[in-house]
Amino acid sequence: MALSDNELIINANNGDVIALEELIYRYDKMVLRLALKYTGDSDDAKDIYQEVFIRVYKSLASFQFKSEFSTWLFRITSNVCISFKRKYGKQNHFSLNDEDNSGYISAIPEDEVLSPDNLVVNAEHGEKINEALNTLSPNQKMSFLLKHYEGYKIREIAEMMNCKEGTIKKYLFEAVRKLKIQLEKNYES
Amino acid sequence: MNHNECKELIPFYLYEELDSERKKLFEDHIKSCKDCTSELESYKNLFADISEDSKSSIDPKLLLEARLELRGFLRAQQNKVSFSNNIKDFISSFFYKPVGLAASGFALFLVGWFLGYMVFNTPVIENIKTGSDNSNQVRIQNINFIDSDPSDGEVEFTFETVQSDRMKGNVNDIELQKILTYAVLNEQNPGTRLNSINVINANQIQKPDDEIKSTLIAVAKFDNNPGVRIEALKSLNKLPADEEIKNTLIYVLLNDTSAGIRIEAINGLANASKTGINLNQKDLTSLRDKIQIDKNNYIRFQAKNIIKEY
Repeated sequence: MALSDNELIINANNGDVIALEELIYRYDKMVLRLALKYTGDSDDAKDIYQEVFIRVYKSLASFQFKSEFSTWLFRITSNVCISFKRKYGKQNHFSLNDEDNSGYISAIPEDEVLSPDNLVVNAEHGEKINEALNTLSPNQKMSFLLKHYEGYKIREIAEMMNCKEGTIKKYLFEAVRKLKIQLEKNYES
Repeated sequence: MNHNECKELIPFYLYEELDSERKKLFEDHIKSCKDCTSELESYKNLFADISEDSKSSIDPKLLLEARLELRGFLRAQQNKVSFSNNIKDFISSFFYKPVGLAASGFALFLVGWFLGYMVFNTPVIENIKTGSDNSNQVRIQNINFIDSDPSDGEVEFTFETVQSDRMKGNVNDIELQKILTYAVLNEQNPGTRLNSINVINANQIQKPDDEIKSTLIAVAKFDNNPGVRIEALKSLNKLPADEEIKNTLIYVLLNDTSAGIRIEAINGLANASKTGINLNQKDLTSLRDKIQIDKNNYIRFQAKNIIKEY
């Protein structure tokens, strides 16, 4: 029978490298996918992947078993993603002032918003979603990805991002509104 | 509930994160409001598109590269830890000598008894089948104590049983290449890692392989032995230059503490730029930084040349 995450952590902390690798390989696809979606760049995603698991390796001994390992892992991942963008200053599509308000939304003229019927599903959607994601602030983007791509509850995302649930709701609300408008714009163009 | 309140709740209704009271108010409003119903439909479409996108899988090559790099780092860290533990054990052996001697003598007796029992009474663990050697010799290695205190009559430890095997074959054989690639990343002995790189290198020139290239990249960046790192870098420099190799050369140039290895990296970079590999703004900035801060005259000179000729 497969060992639980906590059993693998205990073994890894006793110097069992195989246990550490098994633990990492349980979640590393999710971390890489999240990093790739967050950055939109495979080299950046690999850098984030390395940084996340190096931090996991270095601080696994201090893991308190108070939360799920996955929650702890995604807390590290969201910290690394957000600070990665800040560190290298690549995030230049959003305004720092629009973190907690709907200024971006109000800046889009009414006539640029398509009717709901015009929201079309097609093969290019992934690319268009990536473009739209670039208009979000780091916190909005991370909340959105954890919700829509990893399927976490708002309570869990709040724990991962060390925020209140109300703050996450705000990030999600703004993220979804911006994405909706951006995608409608993309389809029009 | 008015329109604005209802529209603000749409995403959370779809997430199923509304309490029962709000959910009822929301559904009552939706039933009687065409505008909000169509807004809800548009969000449903949006969420469906995103859900479709979220099912896209990760490129296996990217995952493999990331894992290889991480494994290289972890192995280097393990070696550092083992080395520092050995030093600690050596130093601590001078202290507590009488107690330590008695305890370790008894522990060794138990270990010997236990290993003897395991070797002669347990079936041999299945190992890689190469079909070249059927001997059942089993080695015990990597004994790690969980409880080394014999005062209660019991000790606990983990260990690995390894069965010797032998393989002889053509350097182009895929199985043989796989084992050597594993050895480059995992073998503790740097000499073995070097030999493996040399054999891989002989094959790699004839038939470049992505997995082997990724292994060489991981080793060039993270192996803790400078001799192994420089051999991996030399092997990479013999391959047709591409974006991945260029990025590795820049990483080594910026991070390796050995001037000899950095020289190999900058020479590789100079050749790559001559063969038309594109240097982006970030690469050029890294080279400009090198001109300012690298202690080695040759590296500064080469960095200047690459920028001038680019």
